[in-house]
Amino acid sequence: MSFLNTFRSEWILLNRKKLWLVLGVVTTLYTVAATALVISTAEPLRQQSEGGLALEALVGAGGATMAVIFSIAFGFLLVLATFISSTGNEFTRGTLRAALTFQSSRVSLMAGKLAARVLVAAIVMAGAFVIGAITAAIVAPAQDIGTDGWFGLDALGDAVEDYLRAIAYVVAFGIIGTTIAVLVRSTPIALGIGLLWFGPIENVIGEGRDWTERWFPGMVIRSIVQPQAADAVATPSALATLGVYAVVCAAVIAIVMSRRDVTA
Amino acid sequence: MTEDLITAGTSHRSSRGVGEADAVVVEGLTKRYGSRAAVDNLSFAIPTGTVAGLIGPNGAGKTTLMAMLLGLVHPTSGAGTVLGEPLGKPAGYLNRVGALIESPAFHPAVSGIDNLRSLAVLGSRSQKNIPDLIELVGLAGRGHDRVGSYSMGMKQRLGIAASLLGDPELIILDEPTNGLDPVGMQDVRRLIGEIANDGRTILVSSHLLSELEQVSDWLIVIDNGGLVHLGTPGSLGAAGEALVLRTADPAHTQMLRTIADSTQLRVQVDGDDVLVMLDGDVDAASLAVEINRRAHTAGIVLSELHYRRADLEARYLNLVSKGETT
Repeated sequence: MSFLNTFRSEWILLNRKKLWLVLGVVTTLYTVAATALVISTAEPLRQQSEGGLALEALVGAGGATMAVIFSIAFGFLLVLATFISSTGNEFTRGTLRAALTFQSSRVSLMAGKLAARVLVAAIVMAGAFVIGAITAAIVAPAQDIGTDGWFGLDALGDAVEDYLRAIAYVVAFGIIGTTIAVLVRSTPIALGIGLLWFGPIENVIGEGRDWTERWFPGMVIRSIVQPQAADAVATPSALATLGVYAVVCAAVIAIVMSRRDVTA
Repeated sequence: MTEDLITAGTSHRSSRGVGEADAVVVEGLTKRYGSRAAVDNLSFAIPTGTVAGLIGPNGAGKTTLMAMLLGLVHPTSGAGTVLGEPLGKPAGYLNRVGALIESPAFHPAVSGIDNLRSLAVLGSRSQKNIPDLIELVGLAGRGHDRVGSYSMGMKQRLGIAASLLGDPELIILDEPTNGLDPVGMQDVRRLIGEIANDGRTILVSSHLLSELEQVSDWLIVIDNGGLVHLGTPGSLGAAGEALVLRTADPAHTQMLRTIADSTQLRVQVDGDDVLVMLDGDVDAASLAVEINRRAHTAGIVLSELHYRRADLEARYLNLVSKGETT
């Protein structure tokens, strides 16, 4: 009951015309630009530079959404920063404290808020997939990419799978971002930690070390949304690892929220 | 001492004719941060239906105490009940408590009404009276505006409206006049009076006694985390009441002092003024008549004879500056 109340309460705060308008504009601009860029820079597999998308991956059933999810993957800092700031601001503004005077279950409070934010992200992702697929269909002919296989039932199945991968990516960054914010209770510090870790630290430490692909959370999440990458971990293994991380993060949030005083 | 304090609370409740259990009871409540005690072995009771003023200087432990009552801060030791439920289980009473703790905290991009709706849903409270609450706190016409566009005073009012969601039995207001101009302060005091008329129990804090003495019928004075006074505002100020006498001829001041001494009350001389302290149950008017009569008989012309109300602020400052805890 308290989880549902928190979810509904958070939804009231999020379900605003202005927020949807801003999200819509940002998502549209980002998706159109990123999808067009990914497709226009795609190269044949044998000439492919590191980090790019192979032309061959765009041909066939999943081609329309392949470019979309590939471009979404580059927005991880945006997703992480959004979840960190939405939780961090609750501490710095005192809205979490105010909420706890209405509902004492701290774990339910965090879970309900996270669920509502993930729902908003899922809706935004759905919009991004539609916009990205349309963009891909428009841009692909210029790159001589055949789009014959993009509109069948198989394509729909692939699109659903890609969408689920995108949701997993959002949930993973959402939980991690929320955990960092709960731990440090400060948006700027949490942003610094998150951006440092998932930016330079993972990449520097991970350079030339295969095990990092299997265990570093940012790299595991990347395996989910870029399964075609040469160094990607198999999706079941990646999901299992992320599942463990999610449980650990949930435990950290539960312990920290339950034991700490809410003084801010 | 704890027993004395609780007894004091009980007798006060009896005098109000309220027969229900105390709304808030704390016994030996302590909160330590390292070696520093923010709240130190605090014991008191707040009778149901009372407007209790929690007063103390900044850093006295008022907010920490309120946060413990709301389950935001875990006590280091001690126990208590809120609306009959154990202090450690806020789920049992939070739906009957409204609170404004520290500064009002709302989502700035969201309207005042939607902030209240969100909190009402969160606490399973009715949303029906939100328009009435908005009007009650003087925000009519601004409820649909973003909270980010509100002044500090408007946010404070919205915070009070939030504390009234669901018609709670106990309302806890932490420095509700902070950041308000004099008119706003007066409005909030009036509002507290209106809320209290419905028979609710209110615990309101301030570092200014003048803020609370007009609206409270019960004062809890704390300093350095400990209790320094508990009782009615009258009990805080009784010691300061006095008759002030002055002769037309300063040469007669000593004679006037002798007359004042004959009343068997405490007498102080402050410059040309002779002060007869009204300790205990003294009829000030009768005493003034008697002193005036004796002075006239002695050939002393009084240029001044008036009743001085207790200076509660001075008494309060005296209490907290001593740093003593009961």
